[in-house]
Amino acid sequence: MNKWKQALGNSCYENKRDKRNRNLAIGVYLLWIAAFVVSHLSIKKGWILDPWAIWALVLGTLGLGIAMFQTYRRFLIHADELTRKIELESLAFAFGVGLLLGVTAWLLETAGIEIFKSSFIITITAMLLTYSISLVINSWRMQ
Amino acid sequence: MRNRLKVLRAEHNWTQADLAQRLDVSRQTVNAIEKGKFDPSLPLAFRVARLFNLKIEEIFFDDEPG
Repeated sequence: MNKWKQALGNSCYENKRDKRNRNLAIGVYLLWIAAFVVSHLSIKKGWILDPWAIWALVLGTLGLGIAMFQTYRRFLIHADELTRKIELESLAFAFGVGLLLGVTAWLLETAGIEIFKSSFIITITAMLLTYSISLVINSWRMQ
Repeated sequence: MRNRLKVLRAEHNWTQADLAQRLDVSRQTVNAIEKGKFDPSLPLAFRVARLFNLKIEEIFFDDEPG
């Protein structure tokens, strides 16, 4: 029980440097998600019609995405080696599951069988869920 | 891979947190190494060896025969 509690609390990140870098990566990630949602809604709902403003939104979101990638990369480079192993295993597993589900959903779409609304959404959702679950399981395994 | 880390740590009366601090890793890393769930990188193995003033092969043992 204690192992699960520690795993759910991501106790591998007790190192102050890792905590700070991880929190920064999560902060930039949330900013990127917010920028993506605002940009998507602004373009889809027609709140912004000026092509230059649309370009600015898209490039701003892309810039935040690059910043997110860099902060996460920095976190991984400087992370405690057990933390890095857990993160990389979880990322690899999430990538594999996302790729398989995404390609399968895309094939079904091509065949005219629509189980999911969009293969893109199912891929992203599967990757995020698998990554989160893998983090907890891998942290538990290493306790 | 097996190791003598727990024994060596006990000989020095260090807690896992003490050893982790000396090696600049998390306590969980020390715990996982002691339990054989995680093999340290070569640089970390060298740090451990230097800390206890021993050779790497006197602390870590290969499980594979021969």
